[in-house]
Amino acid sequence: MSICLTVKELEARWEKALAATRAAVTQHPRTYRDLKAQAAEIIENPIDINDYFPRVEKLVDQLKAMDPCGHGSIFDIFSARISPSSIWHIKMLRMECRDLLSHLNAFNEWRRRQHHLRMVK
Amino acid sequence: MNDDVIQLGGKKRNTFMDKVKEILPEGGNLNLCLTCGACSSGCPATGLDGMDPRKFLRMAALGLDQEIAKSDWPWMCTMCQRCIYVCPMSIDIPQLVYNARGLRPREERPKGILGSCDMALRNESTSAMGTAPDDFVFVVEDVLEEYQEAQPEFADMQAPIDKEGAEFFLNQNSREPVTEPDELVPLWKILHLAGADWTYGSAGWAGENYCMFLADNDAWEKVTRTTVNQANKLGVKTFLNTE
Ligand code: SF4
Ligand code: SF4
Repeated sequence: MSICLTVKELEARWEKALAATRAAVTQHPRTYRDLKAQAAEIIENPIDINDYFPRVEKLVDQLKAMDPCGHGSIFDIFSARISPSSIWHIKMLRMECRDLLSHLNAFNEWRRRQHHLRMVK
Repeated sequence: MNDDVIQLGGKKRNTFMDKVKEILPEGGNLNLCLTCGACSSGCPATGLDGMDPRKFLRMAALGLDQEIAKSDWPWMCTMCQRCIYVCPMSIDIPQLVYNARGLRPREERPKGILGSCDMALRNESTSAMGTAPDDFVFVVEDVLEEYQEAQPEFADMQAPIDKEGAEFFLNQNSREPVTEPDELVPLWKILHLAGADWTYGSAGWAGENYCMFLADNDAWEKVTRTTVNQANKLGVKTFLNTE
């Protein structure tokens, strides 16, 4: 990871991630809905320790299904972050799910603005 | 692009959302952290307790105050500020860490840091090891005499304490006078060879300030003021912080 990044570079990367996310959502609308529901359920309900791995596996499968070739979408980035080999502390799963939904909210905002601009044109 | 800033609002008042707003530079966008992580890659506390500075910042921005208060990670941050240095937005994560430490009741903060801070408040030395002013004066004079005799080229070397009107006021970590007195000497030699006009203070000579790491603002200020007052009393112009 470079330590000389600029804000401009980060903005370009974020824009790229948003575009890749839009492509993934367009291709897999149903998985997208299921994924969001699954993340929301993890946030809202307690998870039995025995359910932890199956839950995470399902979530990671959904994330991978959204961006199977790894185009750098929000799903791609979170599938690496949420995999059981990355989260050594179970308590972090809920935080990652919250963070995922927060990024997807930002994506939706961005997408809405894009639509809006097109309509004005 | 700036409209993409993570939503920090909400009905509930979250201490950390407010703090994040305060430290976020004008036009800053926390979503940019997603493809960055520069702060985490250079942080000595990354991976401890399953946390890293980027995650900590996100937790703060998401308003997870309770989780932050429960986490031990803020106590593992060394406050080295490396993360600020590498951050393209210069986000002051250690400031947030400091605020997080303050969330815990004082008596529940880590015993080692708490004990060292309390020790510093016991006498005018402000030493986390509890060394009294008289003991410090004795050690300095004793070591100085030994070196003046053993090394004739430093026979004129001085290690003044409470010298009025000196140019520099130096502080000193307690570890040296208490456990490694010989380690005091190299700095004395450098100052001697440079012809510096300097002094220690019999009060406020100890440079370490665990009350800062404890996030105890009042005690931190008391320790610092003891040093500053002594320097002012002696009419010293420049404070050299060796910590
Ligand atoms: S100040 Fe704390 S969070 Fe930042 S790099 Fe140092 S240890 Fe890590
Ligand atoms: S270095 Fe700054 S921009 Fe990058 S992840 Fe850390 S806080 Fe975010």
